[in-house]
Amino acid sequence: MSKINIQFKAIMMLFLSIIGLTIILGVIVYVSINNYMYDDFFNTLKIRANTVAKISVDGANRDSTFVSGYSVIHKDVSEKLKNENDYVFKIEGSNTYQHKIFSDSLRIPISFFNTLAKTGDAEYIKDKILYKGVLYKYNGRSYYVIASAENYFENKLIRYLQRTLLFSIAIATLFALVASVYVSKNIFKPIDRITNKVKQISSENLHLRLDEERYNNELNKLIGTFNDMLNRIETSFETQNNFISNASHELRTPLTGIIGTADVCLSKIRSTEEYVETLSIILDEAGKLDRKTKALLFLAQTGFDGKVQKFEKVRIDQLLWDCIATIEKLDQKNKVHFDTSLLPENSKKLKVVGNEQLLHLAFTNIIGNGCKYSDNQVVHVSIGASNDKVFIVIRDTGIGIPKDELKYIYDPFFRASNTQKYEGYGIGLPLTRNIIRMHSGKITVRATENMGTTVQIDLPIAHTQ
Amino acid sequence: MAHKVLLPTDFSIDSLKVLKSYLQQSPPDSSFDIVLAHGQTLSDSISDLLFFSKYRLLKELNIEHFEDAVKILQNKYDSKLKNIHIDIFTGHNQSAFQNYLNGNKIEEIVVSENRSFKPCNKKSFDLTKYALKTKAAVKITKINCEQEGSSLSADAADISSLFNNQMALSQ
Repeated sequence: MSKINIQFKAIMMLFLSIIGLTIILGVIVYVSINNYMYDDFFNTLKIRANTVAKISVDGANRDSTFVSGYSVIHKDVSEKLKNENDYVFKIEGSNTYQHKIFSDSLRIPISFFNTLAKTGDAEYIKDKILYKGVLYKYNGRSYYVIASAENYFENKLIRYLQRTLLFSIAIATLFALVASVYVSKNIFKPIDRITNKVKQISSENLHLRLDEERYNNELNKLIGTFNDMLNRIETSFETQNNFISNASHELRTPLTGIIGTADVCLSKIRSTEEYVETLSIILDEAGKLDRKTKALLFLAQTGFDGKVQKFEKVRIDQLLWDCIATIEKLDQKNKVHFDTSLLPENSKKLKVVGNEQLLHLAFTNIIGNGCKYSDNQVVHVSIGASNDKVFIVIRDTGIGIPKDELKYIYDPFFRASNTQKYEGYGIGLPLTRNIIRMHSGKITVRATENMGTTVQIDLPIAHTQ
Repeated sequence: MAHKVLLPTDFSIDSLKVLKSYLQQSPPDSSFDIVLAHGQTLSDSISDLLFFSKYRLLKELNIEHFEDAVKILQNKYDSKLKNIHIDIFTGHNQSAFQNYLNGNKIEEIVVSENRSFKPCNKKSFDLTKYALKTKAAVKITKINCEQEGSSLSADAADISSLFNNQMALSQ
């Protein structure tokens, strides 16, 4: 519904602006040509008046060749004007009285003559007749010479102009309608396509992605953003699916241990030592179960529940110190070296918007993995910051990851083939990745088998307002 | 006044280790103006030359990782580094290099002793050989960078290798 509105709006806007422009153009052309025609006609009349003055005023005192020359110009050479009338008034005595007589005789207002007397030039339009007056002086005497004629341009050319303009506006309207409909259809067609494609995507076929449009940068940005979103949704969906199937399996293993041990123990009366042994096994297994449940819970939370967590500004170096302390507390044998050689001088560059607990969990996981898989060799944690990112590099010299298994490391419950002798559930790395993603960061794992693993985490710096 | 230093680079993170070691060895109250220069022969096409832009050329080289790593170093040595910028040297003989040094008022050139140049495209060339041959009154410092874990980080765009160098020193 709203889409149709936008399309309609676009059509209307385009249409109205084209029509508006054409009409403005038409009006300007009409008005200016109309004005020009009157000016032009008045000029013609002025020439007429001057010729008439030469003939009748000068001619009275000159020879006949002079007069006949001007008469030829007047009669034969100049174009014929419709309803032409020329008047010559000789001025004698009082102006006001004479003006009254003149204006009465011609039936034009007295102000015409007043302006004529004042400026030597006057124009007047009555009905369709145009009057042009000129003040003519000869031998110290003044004459009013007035030429009048009907403006035939008005009747012919202006009508023609009106017709042409109206016709062109009509054509422009038609054209504008077609063009605006076509353009807006074209603009909205890819959006239609996107909408249809998005409609097809549901939880069953989350792997589908939108195709990039050709020659359409803005829409490609939208498509890219949408595909990114689909990527995230897909991973969290996958995590959830695997989570359910694997979690039940993982939880059953210690439970089977507990049940089996208890069952065997209860089959006959045992000695106190045997009961103690059984109970300690059960406790051990229950402890494992507890840890697994906790880890799974965290994974679940980070995977699906971004809103619950509180985000605040966290100083990454302090957080890393905390993580290292935790790691060293967990096992005395763990050795971590915190390399601050590239620590930025400005501590603002180390602040990240995030959830402290989750980030703590993520880093502890990575560092802990480093300790675990390198048999307690030194793990190096380095930190550095560019202007918009904090880089954390965690490097160990442990067993590494086989090259062809690198792509599976983020799958929940996946464990690389060389990790058999180490205890683990395969939850840590996916969990960490989820956490880093929640913070719009990036995690890169580089590893060589039996040489070590380098984990690089980039987190965006909190922008100070 | 900041000490102006030129460092030949091939836009790999590895090459920045030279700068890192150099800055580590420098006295605490020194201040530097660093030029990271890369040699690049220009195309012979007249239209390419007409529309030549260093900014675009740098963009085409796709050195975002390198720039990030430079920023890391700049943030670390914020008080020492008055300025650091990436530049491209487009000359092709010793005297052009000489002019470049004069024009930029370079006081010192820092080169790596044991690191081999890895061209980042067909047109890049190593400035070190010009630097070593120069007759100008420029101090030449040779830095020996430990090549630890070079097999681990063959990738020129791997920022984490910048950190590795330090580990080699600390161990």
